[in-house]
Amino acid sequence: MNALADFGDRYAAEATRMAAEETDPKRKAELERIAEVCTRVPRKGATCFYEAVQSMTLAHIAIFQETTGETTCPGRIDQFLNHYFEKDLAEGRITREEAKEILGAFCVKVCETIPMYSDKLTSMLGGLTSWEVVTIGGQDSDATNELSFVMLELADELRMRQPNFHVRLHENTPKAFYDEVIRVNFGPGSAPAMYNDELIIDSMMNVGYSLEDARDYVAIGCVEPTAPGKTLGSTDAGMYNMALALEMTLNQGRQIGSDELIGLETPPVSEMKSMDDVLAAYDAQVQHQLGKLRSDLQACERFHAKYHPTPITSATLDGCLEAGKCSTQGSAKYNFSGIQGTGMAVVADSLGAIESAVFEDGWLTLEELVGHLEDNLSDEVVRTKLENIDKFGNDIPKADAWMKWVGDHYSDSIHALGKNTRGGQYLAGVYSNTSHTHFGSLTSATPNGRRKGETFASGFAPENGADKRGSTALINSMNRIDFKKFANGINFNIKLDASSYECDDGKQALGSMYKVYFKRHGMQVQANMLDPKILIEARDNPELHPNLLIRVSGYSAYFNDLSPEMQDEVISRSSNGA
Amino acid sequence: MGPDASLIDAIAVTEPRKASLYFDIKRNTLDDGPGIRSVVFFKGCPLSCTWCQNPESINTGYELSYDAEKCISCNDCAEVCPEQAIDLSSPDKIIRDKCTQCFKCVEVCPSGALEQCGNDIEMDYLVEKVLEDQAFFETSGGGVTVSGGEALMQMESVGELFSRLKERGIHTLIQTAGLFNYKVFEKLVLPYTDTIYFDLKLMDSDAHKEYCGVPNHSIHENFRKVQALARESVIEVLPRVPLVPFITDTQENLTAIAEFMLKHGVEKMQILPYNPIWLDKLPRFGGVQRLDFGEGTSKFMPDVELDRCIDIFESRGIHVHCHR
Repeated sequence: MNALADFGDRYAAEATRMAAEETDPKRKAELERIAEVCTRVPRKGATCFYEAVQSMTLAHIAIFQETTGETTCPGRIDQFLNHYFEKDLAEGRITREEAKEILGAFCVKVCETIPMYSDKLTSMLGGLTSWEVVTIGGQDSDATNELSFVMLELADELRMRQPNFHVRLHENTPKAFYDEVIRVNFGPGSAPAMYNDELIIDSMMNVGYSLEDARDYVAIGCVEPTAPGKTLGSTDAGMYNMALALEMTLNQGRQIGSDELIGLETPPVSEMKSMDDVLAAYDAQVQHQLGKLRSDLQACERFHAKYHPTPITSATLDGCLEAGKCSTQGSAKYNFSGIQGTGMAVVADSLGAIESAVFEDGWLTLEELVGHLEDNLSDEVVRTKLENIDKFGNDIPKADAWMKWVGDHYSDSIHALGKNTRGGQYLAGVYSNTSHTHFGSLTSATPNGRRKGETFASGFAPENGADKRGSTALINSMNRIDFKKFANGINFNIKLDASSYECDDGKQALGSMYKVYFKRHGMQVQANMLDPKILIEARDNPELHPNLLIRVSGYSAYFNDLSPEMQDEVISRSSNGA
Repeated sequence: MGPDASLIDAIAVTEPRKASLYFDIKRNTLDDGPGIRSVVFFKGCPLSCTWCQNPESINTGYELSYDAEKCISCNDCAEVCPEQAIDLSSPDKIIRDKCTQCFKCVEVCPSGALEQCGNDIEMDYLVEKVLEDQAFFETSGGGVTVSGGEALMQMESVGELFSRLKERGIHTLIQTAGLFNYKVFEKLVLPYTDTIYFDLKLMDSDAHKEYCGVPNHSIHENFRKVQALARESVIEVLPRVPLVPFITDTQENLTAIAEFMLKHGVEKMQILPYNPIWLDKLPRFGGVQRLDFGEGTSKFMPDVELDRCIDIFESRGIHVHCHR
């Protein structure tokens, strides 16, 4: 804590030095103010809005450094800064515009960091972001305040890769705020993402959060609901390729076309006489893989506890100071580890295709199907037939039921992993960053008609191009999922043609659509409001649209930061209403 | 009473069907009335406008639709066709004269390239289908629109559908070309109807007969009657004018329509700008292109033309709604 206080002093000293050399009186005054503020905070605590933002910024940087820069999230800044703002405003110390300027400077500061990852990690966590996000609005009856609006304006005007803006919505969100969220959604980057308080608070209480703490949640990183100041969430502990389990189900624990046993030796398809037999093998493969993943994760957890203590972070978390132990050793009030499932719709659609083609209509056997998969579905008639079997996302109860089954099975399997080394529970999440492309590239052809190497859908979305009956049908399908089971969060990207919705009628319709989704227990949604031509242009001529933001699976990145495959995937992602 | 009285009588004595003949249900539409809507497209129309947006909707019967873009040339269809009416190596692919509409080819088509256009749907199932989006209707102030073809060729169906929707408080809207038997309409459909979108195309009856296949007297008579109801606030009526270059969008025709509207107390109307997407549909069921006014036929209408047309109505005090 002393180091953090000294950190402020160093800034104060530097600002003083620069002020002395500065000739421009305006800049000189600014530097003197910075020096004055940094002398007070974080050492003595903030007495006004400016100091509060400065104090937050310095603490943010310190925590960011200590945790190697992943997912350091300021959280509900419209809530904890509001009393400084209101007091300063009332006492004439600040104007709304000045407060916005200070917060804007904070946002720009957050955007300065560009993390460098290995090629492999970048393929799964693409977009050069460190997931520093802010959460605005939300419950406590209704917590929307003037700063919430200021933050939305900044989201609209800055449109930078960071920070991402997450908006909490609930039954009593004021109409003016909701309308503003929809309006801001139309800009490039499709910020902000929208979260359903009612469902998320329920899902958090399901895994042990108190009502009070759940109500104060922030959506950190991509989409993960977490009680701030009380939780070591390790929300992105693992990413899991669900389609690999399906592949191994169909080939006795091996990838299709490979002899190497990497999963569990389950029966050959020739012995599978019903869907139950297929599902039993799938279940066995999933349990086996997740068991291995847990061992790896626990090795990481023990490593962190032993070799990577995080004292500043721990000082900000309830429980750690009281216990006199680092948060990595399990002293925070809440301890979780999140594991994300990727390829959910591939598995669901594939199981539906197996049921329909093999066990209902019987136009091919399971062995023949595996033969076609080995052959990368080069028989176009077979592939087309498989592709045209009902898929998730079209408001077809039977197809949607497979998605629910796969989701429930995944969540139950994660919860069955028991406790992590910090004494907390493993949580299931379904958001994919960019891992859906990476995992897709590693996965053989699948029974839903997908060829080897093709990308999966992102997060909790239907497979690319599989949803063909419009966004209301898609939302009906989404609402068949029990999202309460995914306390680590989900992301649902919906791509809409901006021109269809940008008139007043269209915006109202859009607002209505999300309301229906949330009222029927949807969890999260983020909209890409796009003119597809712009993306194709940006892909082919990056220099034309260097600043084109695009929402990819829970965080913003510039379109040009993405790999060519990911750009193609953004373009080809189901485009309703277009 | 105009010269098309016999046509009206013919429509009135149409056998009541057990099922409704439709060719599409489109969900999540934003331009077919207020809010989020589902549109039921009925098949069959007494008009045959040369620019028809849904040319597959005109015939009162089933048709075979073939989409070359979806076809993977597996030839399963040709093998199963009992009439040798499919030859994928020929330019037309489907030999329409030989097709008896058994639709065996549709059953085997793996890609969905071959489809039956026009299906019978039982009322219970139709209601169930449109109610899939009930939650969206309620939240957005939307509802169900019937279109076509001419939905009012199947008034028993529309009346039954609407009465069941009104039981649930759902907004109902008809898009009509205006040629229907008013007495039957008044009895079966009107009590359950909230809004009518009523097309007015050509004021000159001979031109109307030339381009739409029928004279316009009965249409105008029906318009007078529903507009009278609108003025008594029984229902809402929105007259709509499709702009077709050189045919309906002439100064003379639009001025005549505007004057006709003023005479009947119209305060707002909608203009439907010409768009060329109907051309895409013709080859799918062997339709013949009857309209060609040069290069513009395959293009969207320029804004400047649209402004000229809008001004004809606005300058007379009629408010124009137009989605560009």
